Amino acid sequence: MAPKGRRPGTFSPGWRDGAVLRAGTVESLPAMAKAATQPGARGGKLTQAQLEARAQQRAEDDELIREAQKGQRAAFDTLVRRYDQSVLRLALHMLGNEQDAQDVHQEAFIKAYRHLGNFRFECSFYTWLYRIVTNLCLDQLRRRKSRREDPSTAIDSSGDEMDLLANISDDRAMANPARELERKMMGERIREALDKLTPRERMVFELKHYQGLKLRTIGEMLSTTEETAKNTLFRATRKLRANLAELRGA
Amino acid sequence: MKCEMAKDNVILAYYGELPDELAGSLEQHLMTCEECRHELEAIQAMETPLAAIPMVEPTPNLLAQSRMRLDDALDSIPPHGFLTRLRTNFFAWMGHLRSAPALATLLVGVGFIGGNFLNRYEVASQPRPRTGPTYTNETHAVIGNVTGIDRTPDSELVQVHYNKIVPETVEGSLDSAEIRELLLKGAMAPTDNVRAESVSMLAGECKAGHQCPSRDDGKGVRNALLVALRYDKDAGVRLKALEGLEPYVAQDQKVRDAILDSLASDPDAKVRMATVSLLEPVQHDSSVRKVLRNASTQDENPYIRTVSYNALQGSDSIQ
Repeated sequence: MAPKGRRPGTFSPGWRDGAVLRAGTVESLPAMAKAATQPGARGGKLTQAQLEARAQQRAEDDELIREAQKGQRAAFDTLVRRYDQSVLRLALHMLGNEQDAQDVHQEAFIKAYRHLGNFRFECSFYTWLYRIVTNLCLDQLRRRKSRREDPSTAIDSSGDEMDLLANISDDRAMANPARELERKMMGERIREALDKLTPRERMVFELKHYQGLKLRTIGEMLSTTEETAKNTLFRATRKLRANLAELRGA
Repeated sequence: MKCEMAKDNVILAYYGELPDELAGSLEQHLMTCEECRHELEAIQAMETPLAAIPMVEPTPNLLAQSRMRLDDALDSIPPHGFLTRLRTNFFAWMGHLRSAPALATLLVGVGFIGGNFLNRYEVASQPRPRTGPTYTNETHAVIGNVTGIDRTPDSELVQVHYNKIVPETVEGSLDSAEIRELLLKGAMAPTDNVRAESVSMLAGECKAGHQCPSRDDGKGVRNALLVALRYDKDAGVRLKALEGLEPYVAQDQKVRDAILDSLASDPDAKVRMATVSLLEPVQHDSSVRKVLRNASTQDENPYIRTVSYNALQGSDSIQ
């Protein structure tokens, strides 16, 4: 699996090829403050070309939906091919489990297919579909919370417990075993920190930090307001910051 | 800008969601507030650990497997039926209407006018059911009498006018005009005891001197007592009327004449006897003396003859 290239952070000054800004870093206050308030690549404004491409895609989606609503299965299949990779990627990252991600993927598209007649073109198909996916993921996370299940392990078909994180590999694996082990350990701790968030906080943080969606879109997906999504992001970020600080202290 | 807001805005700025108008004030705040700068550093410091769980693309195998599973599941779903298509078309229409408010308004107007015309047509063309009679001011009362009948030409519709007798009760002082009016009607009621009660009460009022004047229009309590004395078939009622008229014998010629008529012709001996004692104050009147004289010689009742004779003797000694 190839890791998706991480976008550079908003706070470009202070970063040195991804290194964390430390207290000893030479950075003047005005420059730092200015950098903090500049819209960066993380969630920055879209270019005109991107906006046009998005509008074009939405128009195409709407046309496909109309055809699918008339019963043309091929049109729906085209929509599936457009978005199923994104759906699978989100579910996989949220749930950390291929089996669960596959279930969410299937259930989401079946729901979309069944209820396509109710689609009223008030939002994009992408937002509508993601609303279904996020709800399914939230349900899955809530079930896990109630079962107090360890999300990083699952029972395989033979009944043995398997490490889910071990299933997620990338091209860096085995390049340096010690470093790889350290990376896996760190990843496991981060997952633990993320699991301390409520399912809703986790979802908002996921959609914002990893998916880079606008808060307004996140609000639409979660059937809430932008303001509520914003406040949930604040809570999630502060909790996570505290949890990560504990990890660093440990 | 306060620190609490600045800390929120740091997060928004980090994710590129800070509105442009707040960027300047946040920048100034960060230059002066060390705590908020620490907040900024802490947010920045989260980037590296969070990168330890990168967004990984699903493997081609996983994607292919998921697509196959989905295709199989979709194939097992039966094609949309008529109702589903109908619902879909309905929502599509709703979408068109929302995007064209003028069309929606026009359709609502057409629907309203069409519905109005349809309703009018239904009302005009529906067969009129044969209805029963309609009553106005219907009350729980007895029909007294029919006062008129009108028939609508060339139809079976008939209007019947009638009066109803509504039983009511009123309570009040004997001096009140309403009660007096009712007692006057009671004095002519067909029921004996009602007439007796009414005349008795009116007579009591006259004896007490309560508004019992003489009137030339034939109305009033004194006239009612005179009528009762002359014409009532019940001797008891006539006696009561006499009691009420007693105070006016001396001053009212009509009363005196009525009493003399009673002495001369009343069929009841008790009434005739009562008149003799009432005439005592006016025994000097020649017409009274004439009637007394007739009674003393011609009355069938010996006691009345004796009493009349004695009264004449008294009047002679007076003169």
